[in-house]
Amino acid sequence: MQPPRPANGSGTSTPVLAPGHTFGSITDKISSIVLARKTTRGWMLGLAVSFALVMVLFASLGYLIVRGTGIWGINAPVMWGFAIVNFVWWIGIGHAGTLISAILLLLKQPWRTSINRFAEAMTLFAVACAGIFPLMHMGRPWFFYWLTPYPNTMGLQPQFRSPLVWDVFAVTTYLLVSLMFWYVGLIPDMATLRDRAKNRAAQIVFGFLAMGWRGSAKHWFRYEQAYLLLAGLATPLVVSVHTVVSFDFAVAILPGWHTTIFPPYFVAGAIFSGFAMVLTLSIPIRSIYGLQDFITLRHLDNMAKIILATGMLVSYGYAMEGFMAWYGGNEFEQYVALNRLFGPYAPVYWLLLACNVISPQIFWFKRFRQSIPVLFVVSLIVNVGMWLERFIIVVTSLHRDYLPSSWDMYYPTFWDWATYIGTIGLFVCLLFLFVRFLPMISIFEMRALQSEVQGKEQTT
Amino acid sequence: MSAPLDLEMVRKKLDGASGPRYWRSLEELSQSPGFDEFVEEKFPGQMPAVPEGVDRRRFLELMAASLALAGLTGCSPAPTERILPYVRPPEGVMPGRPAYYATAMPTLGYAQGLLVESRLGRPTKIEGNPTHPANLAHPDAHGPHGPTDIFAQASILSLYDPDRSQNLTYRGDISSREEFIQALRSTWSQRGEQNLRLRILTETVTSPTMAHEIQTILRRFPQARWHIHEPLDTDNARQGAIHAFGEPLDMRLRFDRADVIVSLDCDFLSAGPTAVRLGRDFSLRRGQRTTQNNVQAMNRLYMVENNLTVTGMTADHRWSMKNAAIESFACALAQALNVPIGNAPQGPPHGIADDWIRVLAADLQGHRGRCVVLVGESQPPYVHALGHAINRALGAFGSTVEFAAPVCYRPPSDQDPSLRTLAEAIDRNEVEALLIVGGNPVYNAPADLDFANKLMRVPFRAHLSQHADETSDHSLWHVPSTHYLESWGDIRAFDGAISVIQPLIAPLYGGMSPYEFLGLLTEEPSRSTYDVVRGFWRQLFRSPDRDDATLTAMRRSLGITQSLSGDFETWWRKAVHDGFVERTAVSARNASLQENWTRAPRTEAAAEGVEIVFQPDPTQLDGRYANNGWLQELPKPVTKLTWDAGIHVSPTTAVQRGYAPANRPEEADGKLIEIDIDGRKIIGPLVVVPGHADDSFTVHLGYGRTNAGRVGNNLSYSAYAIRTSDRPWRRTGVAVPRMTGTKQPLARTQNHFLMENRNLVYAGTPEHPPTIPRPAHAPRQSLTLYSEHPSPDPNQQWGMVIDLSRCTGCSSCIVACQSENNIPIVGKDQVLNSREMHWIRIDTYFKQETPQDPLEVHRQPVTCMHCENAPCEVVCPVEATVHSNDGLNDMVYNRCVGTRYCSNNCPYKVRRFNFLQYQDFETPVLQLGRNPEVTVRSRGVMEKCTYCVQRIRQTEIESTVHDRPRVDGDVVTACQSACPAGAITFGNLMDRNSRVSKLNREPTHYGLLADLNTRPRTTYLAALKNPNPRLAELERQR
Repeated sequence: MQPPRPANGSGTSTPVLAPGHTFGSITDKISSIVLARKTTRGWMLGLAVSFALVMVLFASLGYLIVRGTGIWGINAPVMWGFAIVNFVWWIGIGHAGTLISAILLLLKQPWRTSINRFAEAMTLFAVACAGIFPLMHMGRPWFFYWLTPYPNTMGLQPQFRSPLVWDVFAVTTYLLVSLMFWYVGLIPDMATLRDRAKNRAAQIVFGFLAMGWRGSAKHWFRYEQAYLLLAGLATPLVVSVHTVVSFDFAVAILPGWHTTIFPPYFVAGAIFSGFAMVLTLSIPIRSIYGLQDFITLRHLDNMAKIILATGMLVSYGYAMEGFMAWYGGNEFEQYVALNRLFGPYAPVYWLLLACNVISPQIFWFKRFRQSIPVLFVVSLIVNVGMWLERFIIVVTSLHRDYLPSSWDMYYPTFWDWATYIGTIGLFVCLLFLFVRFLPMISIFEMRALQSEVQGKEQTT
Repeated sequence: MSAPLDLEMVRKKLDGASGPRYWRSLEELSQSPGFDEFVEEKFPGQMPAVPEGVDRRRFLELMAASLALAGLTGCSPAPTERILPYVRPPEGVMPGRPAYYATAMPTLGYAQGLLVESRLGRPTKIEGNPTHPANLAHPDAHGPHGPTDIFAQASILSLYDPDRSQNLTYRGDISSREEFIQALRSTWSQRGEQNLRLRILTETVTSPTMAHEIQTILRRFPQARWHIHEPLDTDNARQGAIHAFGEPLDMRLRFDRADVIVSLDCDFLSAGPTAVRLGRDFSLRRGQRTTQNNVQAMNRLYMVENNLTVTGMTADHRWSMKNAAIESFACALAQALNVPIGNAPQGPPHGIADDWIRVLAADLQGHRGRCVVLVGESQPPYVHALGHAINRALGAFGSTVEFAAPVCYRPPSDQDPSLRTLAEAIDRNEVEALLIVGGNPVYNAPADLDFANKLMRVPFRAHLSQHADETSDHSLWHVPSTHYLESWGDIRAFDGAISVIQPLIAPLYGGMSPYEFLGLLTEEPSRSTYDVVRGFWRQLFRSPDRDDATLTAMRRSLGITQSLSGDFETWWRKAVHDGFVERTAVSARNASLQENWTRAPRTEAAAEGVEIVFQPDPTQLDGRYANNGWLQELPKPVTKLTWDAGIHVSPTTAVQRGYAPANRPEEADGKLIEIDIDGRKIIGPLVVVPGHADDSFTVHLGYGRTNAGRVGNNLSYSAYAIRTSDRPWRRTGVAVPRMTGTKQPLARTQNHFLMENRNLVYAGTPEHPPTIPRPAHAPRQSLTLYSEHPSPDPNQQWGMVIDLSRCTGCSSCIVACQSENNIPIVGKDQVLNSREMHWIRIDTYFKQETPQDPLEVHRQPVTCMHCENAPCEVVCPVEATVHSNDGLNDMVYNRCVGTRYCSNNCPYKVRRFNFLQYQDFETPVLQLGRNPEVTVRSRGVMEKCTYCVQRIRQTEIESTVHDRPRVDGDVVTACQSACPAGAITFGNLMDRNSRVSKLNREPTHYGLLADLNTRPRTTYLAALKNPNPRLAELERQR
């Protein structure tokens, strides 16, 4: 048995679970956040602020329904603005959750265990925020169901060549699978909470949510089977959802959109932004709730590496866009490339390059991969950068396309910002509720991890 | 474990067995009844997952069946409803079928002949009367209608304007007709008609009936005087003609005979009573069509102007110079042509080489008798007279120009009818009663007259107008007037042809016609307008012996010396039906140039410094259409500005005068400057116009209305505030306008005027037509992954060709489309965010490398291209935009959910989205004017050009019902119908002999962005210009 290393110890040998934990201590630690910990003033304040922003969202959407999409800054060449930018951004953020829970599960990466639960929650909340936009950006959102194939007296089906129809399928599938995956993963922990709850109401609620889980061999067997199946289902979704989202652009003939590199580039960007968001969330959570033992520097270090890798992929995408504009010899594509670099939105583009290409490079150095402030700041920068990327893709391509006579600028309005910030409020508000009422780290998986780690330690 | 282990059973199982056997537990071996259950509970993975008897095939069958059953939705029949037939339909009214009535619209006093579409008694669309001289159909135009200008098209909206005055008012309070008549009578009932010092103020009058009425009044009231105020009058041309010929002859142009046209600041293609006709005549010889016979060679237009106008954009050569310098240009040209100019030569203006003038003179002399020089209204009488002298020297008289007695009526020549004399009379307290018949002098009188205050001093003042406008505000009595579509009348065209104005609808808000209004002063005050007009013409059918003096004069002016022959009723019915009376144009006559014409007054010499030039606004004219939203939102042909009057300056001036930093003149756009002339000031936004003359500021009349209505109030500045009666068209030597330090955004529908080296407009000359690359001229078929349209109609495929050589950018098509297709206006704030809704737009591109180079301007009308491979169709998620069998890209408004993806994927950006509720569903009167054949779109849906599908279907239905064969040109789109230049051709591409098919085979035919494989159905003929090769060479050398 090796001597325990200090928490800020070096390299990959930093444990994924701090030593000294037993089944009991893990269960106590995590479940007490939900069951025993007092509702703090900070939590109340955070919830209040984010709930206020949710109200901003509702007000914005209410006004949107009353007046129409004209309250936004969109116009004749730039028919898609913040709504689609935000949609793609939120969907992208969700991807990290699925990647962590599904792909890393299949790849048997033990370090996923302590972050998968709230990464999945983040996925769900991000998809919820994302879903608002394509729905509400429609001119007549009350007819959203026309995009779904349902039997109707008009004898009409959706137009299946449209990527927007593919989107509907991709995103709803994604939402449903993510939801099931998350909930199935929660069931054993619900039972733990039910059993430990002292409060009658909590017992009933958690008991209801635990769906009669008793921890029998049969239950565990079914659970493992279902979880693996869902992981298998979710795995292609990591790739497919953002691929389909990228088709919204790639299938169009608009210069700047009409690019075959978009699917892989979007997927890489999604994972890039998703991991950045996981970092952004996990860093404060682990310090506020004292979870440094469970979310160790090893996790942060690994996520930083993924950010670096996907950041490089995304940078390659930018480089390829520029290269193909030149190499393809299409005057319109060339103009788009030049317009991004030097046109009226050039500051946004340069800022995007600084955020997405330059800032992750700092993660080549282990010192920074393990520095909490650096990780936090860079994760925020990447989140901003990826939002800017979607802005660049949507707006700069549209605002100057084929006929110079149609060229115009897009400026977001108050309502554009209010809706966007409102969804951030919704996301944060849901997260606040999540960390307060549900176990944010999978208790039983941590216990399994503990035995695994212990087992390893014993064998060495 | 459910049951205890049965050892007996185990033994029994083991008994008699041979060979090795394996078991995991004795329970298993015993096969006790609870064993399976136990295994399933504790080791669930050991049991088969799917129950016995359900295989994969059965599972899929069940799933399929349940999905199919879910598809069986209710199919109950619609409830039975009963409808009642129209038992006794009104005569001539066929619901769903429009009727057309001929009438005429006054444009600055002169007639435009119209055919107005009426649906169930409501006029809904204006078309031109194809036989009327002012709206003569283009020989290449199809269909039963003639062209119109923007004002005629938009006049239908003015009819239904909810802000029209609806009450007769006294000092702003609602009064009654009777009270007004009483008050009017009281002005003379005490002292008698002899003593009433009455003044009548009208606009330009060409109506014989009205002129006769006025003359009758003037006889009845000997002290009465008649004044005429038309802010866009033609006084300079009139004075010029008087100096040249000794009498005020009207000049008429015969462009069909002109090979070379030199326009000295004459924007003859823009608004005005003759613009439509001249646009048509001019276009007859524009472009080149190899597949048509009898096409004359292209004419050549030289334009000299300070501001860039529609005519200037169309010209083959264009020189910009200060308005005040055009006189010296004219003199230089006259000298080069050896025309005496009566004073010392000045030499050509700055920037114009002597060589150029010589080449121009040579071109004119090379086309003696087939050339013409035009002079614009803003030039002083001297230049007009000089123009006549040059024309005579070039043998143009009797060929390309003809002269005739003036058409408009005026008081006897010893009376000065100007507003100035009226103002002076008021000053002398000589005016007791003033009747203002139309017009808005308080708004548009020259600033130096201070007319608003003077008007207040007249004891009895009444104003007849459609809106309670600025003048009504200053009058005691305001009398609401009828619209021209609401009352009878008569009017003459520019050539004197007589039209009867036929009403199409009873007055919406009551109101009095001008004939009725003036009739109150005659002996027969209670006659209806119909009786007045018809009675006048009936009088002319009598023998001339019974005429009084005024009628004799009237007969003479109309060229009717004898009694009109035949039956009056027949004549009248024919006149009303045809919209005008044939052979009533004033015949041309000889004009001889007087020797002393050079004594015509000249304005001040081309002073150095800054000049201010006044021009009518391209879409507002003199401001009378201020409350017309279609015209407010119509982009100005050159600047694409809406809802605003710009102050035009050149890029060089913008920089030199410090309005913009060096090399970025466009930054001056929207900066507010203050123009100060003798203490009178206006503040307006700068608009930098390429090709504008340096140090020249063009301000536009027609804005700054305060009492126009909800649409037109308080927009921009009023140039009348600095316009004086002595120099109404330009002021020289003005102090450099200074910036106010603020900037306002300009609501322009186009913000980028460079073509960015893209092949959007192919341009060339007849000798060197542009080479059109193959994909643009003849796209290859079937380059798509998706299947083609399953069943295209082999006999009918619609297509449109727009001839860029002919399009002048006049914008009639835009308003016609707006009227036909119920297109809403969106307002200035929405245009500022590029949300205008026009289904057809005219893109304008400038090309000029350096300020010294000649400016190239290209115009390109863009409609929906109805692409065969429409990019919009594949991306719509709900099949709201689909292709029809006959090749239309249809838009299904009811199905549209508004994802706007189609617009993003449209390379032409012709799709328009209802971002907000733009259509006014609240105002009932606006509903009357809408086209019932076209869906009125609400918010959240996409819309775009449909090729006027309602007209296509109407024609199809009628040809089916009447079993008539379809012919080329039986469907005419609204834009095509309105185009004076015949630039738009629409028809069946499957018919090889249709005109549109023939144009498709022209060598200069091309599709816009056709290399995207969209296979557009709206295509273009390249823009051909006819520059003078020698001059082009000289200009290049510089």
